[in-house]
Amino acid sequence: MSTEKLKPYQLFQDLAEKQRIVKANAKKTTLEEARAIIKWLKDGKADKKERPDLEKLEEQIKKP
Amino acid sequence: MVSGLERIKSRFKCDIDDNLISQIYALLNSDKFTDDTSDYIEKSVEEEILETHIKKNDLFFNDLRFSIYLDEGAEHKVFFNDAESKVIKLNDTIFYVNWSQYFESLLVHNILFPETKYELLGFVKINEILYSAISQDYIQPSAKTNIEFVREYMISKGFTIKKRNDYIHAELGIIIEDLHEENVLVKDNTLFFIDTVIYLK
Repeated sequence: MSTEKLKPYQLFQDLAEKQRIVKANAKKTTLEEARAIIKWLKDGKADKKERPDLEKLEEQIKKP
Repeated sequence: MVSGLERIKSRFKCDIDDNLISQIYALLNSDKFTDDTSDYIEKSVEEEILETHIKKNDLFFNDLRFSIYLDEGAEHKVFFNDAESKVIKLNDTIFYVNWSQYFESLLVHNILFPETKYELLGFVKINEILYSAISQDYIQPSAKTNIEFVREYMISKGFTIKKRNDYIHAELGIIIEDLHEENVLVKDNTLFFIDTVIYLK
């Protein structure tokens, strides 16, 4: 096994190799399938980054 | 001062493809607009530079009609092009201090995650708001993402958890945020990072 240190751009190289194989074997997705998958994925559990409220931000900036 | 593309190349020890993302990033970071002490330009100023460049080079993306609205997140409006099996995302850079930081995030994403790389198609203006139009290969997940698995994977790569789904790699000075279940998909037991918010320290 090589002990050479990976360069920063190679950080996720292991993943890319697997992804290439998975993508090569993937079948085409229809619009209906894509819509169904969105519904299935969005189960409300994801802890997401929220869109900042620009008006509040501007107010905070204006305050001394 | 080393700025722009050279700084990213040097940081990641790699070359960067010559494409619209790198060209726009280089434009915004060119000596014309930055000075010797800082490479920061306010978002509104960058937007003026960008709009002039878009108009001059006809970079408005007019083919959204071939895609169908699919979804909307905090930062993206997502469209699906089933003929090409791609998603098209409109982004108004709400998560970034300026457009440079947004394009830097795209560049770094493409370096780290080439199989889910973004392509900049052009720009769209809706209700006076400027959006980038980027496309990406569509990934159809085969299972729901176990967020603990994402955490373990990121930690195995030298990241520490900053908060929630945000990670920091102290040695490399990379912050990758918003890696929740809908932004990291699983297909055939393999993780796909489809939406990342990346900042360089």
